[in-house]
Amino acid sequence: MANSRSEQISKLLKTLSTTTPDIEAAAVVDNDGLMIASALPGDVEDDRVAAMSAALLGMSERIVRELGRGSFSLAMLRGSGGYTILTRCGAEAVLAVLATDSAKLGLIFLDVSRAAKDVGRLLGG
Amino acid sequence: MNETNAVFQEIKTFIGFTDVDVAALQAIAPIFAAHGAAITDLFYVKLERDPEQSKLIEGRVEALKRTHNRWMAELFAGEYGEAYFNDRWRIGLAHVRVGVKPWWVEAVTSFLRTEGLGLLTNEISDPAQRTRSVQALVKILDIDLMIINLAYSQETIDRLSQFTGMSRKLIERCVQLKK
Repeated sequence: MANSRSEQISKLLKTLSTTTPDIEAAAVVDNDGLMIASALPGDVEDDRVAAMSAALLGMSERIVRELGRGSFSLAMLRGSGGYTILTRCGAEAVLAVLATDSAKLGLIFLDVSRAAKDVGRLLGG
Repeated sequence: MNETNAVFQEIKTFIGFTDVDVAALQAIAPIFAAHGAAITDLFYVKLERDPEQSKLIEGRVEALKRTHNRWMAELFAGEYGEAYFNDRWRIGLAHVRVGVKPWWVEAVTSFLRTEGLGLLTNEISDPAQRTRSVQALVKILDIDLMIINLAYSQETIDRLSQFTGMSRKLIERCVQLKK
């Protein structure tokens, strides 16, 4: 059952990156930094990315709360090669998405938010 | 605290802390009751000489000496159960709170080993009894050090977890990942 759930999430991540051209890759990790499902490039170290994503999301939520910015929505990092977006998918997991530098962020946010809700439902959150 | 309390039992078993040690510690209680305060005084003289530690203890030396003497008396009281563990655990938490560096606890224990062994060498003439006493003293000091250090590391992780929003497991995972 758990395996089938993981497969469903993997499928959802693949769909996300194929239907939204500017989304290059995605992964779902749990709050303890363990990879649940990954559609990340082969040269990425899954263990490290999973732990970093969970860590950054935890810290981002704290900063939003500390600065009185309301409820947390997402964290976005921009590098010269593109964006990394982190958002919650249920209470216990994090969705990490890689987008191109030329991505239209409004559309990306919409798709990421939709995917996060779908993953959250699959995880029972 | 149950999981860590189980660690306490494991430590005692691993070190081989037995009823023989308990009896030996109780037997040397009068020696430390008579000379322990002098060890404490010497210890605080050393601390006051260190610029970093002297700032931490400034204005509280007499109160800290009383705490130290009570702690030393408990080493020989013969009760090494949950209350003993909890008391030592609280010392570790207090050290994090006031900013005592962990290696200072190691240094303090080294000092107490040296002073304690010197005291037992002077006070106990029977070699077999002296050996038993020394072994028991070393064991209980090591046990204390382990509990205090364990509490210190757990409290450090807890505080980091609260600050960053990272779960304890995630922090431990990050530490274990390849550099």
